[in-house]
Amino acid sequence: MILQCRDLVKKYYSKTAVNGISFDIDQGKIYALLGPNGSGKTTFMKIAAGLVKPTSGTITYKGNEIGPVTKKRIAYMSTEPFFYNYMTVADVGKYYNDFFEDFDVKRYEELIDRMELNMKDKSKTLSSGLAAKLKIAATLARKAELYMLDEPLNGIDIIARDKIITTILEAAKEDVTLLISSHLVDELEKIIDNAIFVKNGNIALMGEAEDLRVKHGKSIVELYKEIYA
Amino acid sequence: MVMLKLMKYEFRKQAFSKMVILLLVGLIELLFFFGIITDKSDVMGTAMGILTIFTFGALFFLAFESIITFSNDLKQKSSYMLFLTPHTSYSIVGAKVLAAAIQITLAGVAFFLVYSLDIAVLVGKYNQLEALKEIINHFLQEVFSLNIQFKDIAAVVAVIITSWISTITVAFFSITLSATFLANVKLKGLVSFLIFIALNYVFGRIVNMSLGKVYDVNNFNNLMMYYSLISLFMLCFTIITYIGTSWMLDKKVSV
Repeated sequence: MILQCRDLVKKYYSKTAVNGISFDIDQGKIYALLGPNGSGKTTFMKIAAGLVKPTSGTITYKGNEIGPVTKKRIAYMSTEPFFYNYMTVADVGKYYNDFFEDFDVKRYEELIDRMELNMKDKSKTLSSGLAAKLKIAATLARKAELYMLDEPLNGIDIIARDKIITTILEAAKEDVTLLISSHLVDELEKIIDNAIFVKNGNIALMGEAEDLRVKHGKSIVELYKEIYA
Repeated sequence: MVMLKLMKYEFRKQAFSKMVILLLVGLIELLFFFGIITDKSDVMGTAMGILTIFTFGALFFLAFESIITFSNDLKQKSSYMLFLTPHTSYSIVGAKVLAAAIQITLAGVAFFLVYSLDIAVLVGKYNQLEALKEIINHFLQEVFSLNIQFKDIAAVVAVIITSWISTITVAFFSITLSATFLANVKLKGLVSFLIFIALNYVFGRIVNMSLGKVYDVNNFNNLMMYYSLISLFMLCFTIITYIGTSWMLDKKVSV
């Protein structure tokens, strides 16, 4: 396993976003982190990315506490736009290149081209769809060990979704792990190895996708509807 | 190297305001030189008056902008850009403190050069400014007869800079406090502002109590030592608040 969390809790005021969850993420697999808005998916990812400190519990990546060492290996893409307003698409690439040893400039240029973005465009003037594509290009241009993509299909039109999914799958190599959160379950069903269903900050169900389908006699989409209906 | 990259982006984030300040100083100088060329003393006087007010405003704004940038880096989504980088909070805060210090120092030097240029032009152009030169010379003689030397002036400048930096790090500390231990407190912004005021007051009291009775500020023989010790105190406060801020960011802050 590469990511291990035990009894992880995160509280905001009186609200509990993550409620004592424990699970492991294995290397080289694609995980879907499933659940509706407010179920705790984003908070979990932010804890693993080092942006949010847990209230209690532990989380480690390859035995290391979350911090500068793990940030070198984990590429996180938040669901919200997060680039500085002054930045152009080219500036974003320079910034990532300055701070992440695993950033591949050529790959970034290639992805920017594929996403039909312009290096001179200002990030703050991009439409939500183009801004989402920029986030994906910057994140996937890193050669990380673990990619955590929070709602990567948000704001992406139905035509471009296949292109995004293809790009995501290109990052999925033998030793690379992907953790993708989404409520667009049908888009993920066909590409995932494992599924983690999160409900009210707890793990409602988790396991290998094929095992879950066989055991419950339902697709991941149907399981999703059953759990959250 | 790590700090330099972080500092580069701190400067970049605040570059726009520097360009605006530069542009406005340029316009004021244009007005001043228009007064020189046309021999209109009221225009020159107005330009110098505006420049004086603008200098104070700009220096305050620079410190304020460093504080606002820090606050935004904790509260806005763009904070992910900073806190996803594989650096310790000590490097991140250190880069911010150094960037603020460099900007304030450079701005001070830049304004000093602008004033020097204006005065040199005035003195060079108008013979009647001989009187002004005499006053300055007299003042300098008085100063030097009291054994005030350049090292004393340097000590005073050091106090101004270290006090300014200390104020900024106290603000960083207060803002971080409001984002961590006071995160669940109502009116946390107001509470953190009161903490900022209180800390500055306490630090001021510590300096006064420690040095007030040891050195007589009117005794100019002790001037350099007195101001050097104040700088040392300010440096200590800066280090304490820097470490406190970095520790809170490392252990408690969620962006």
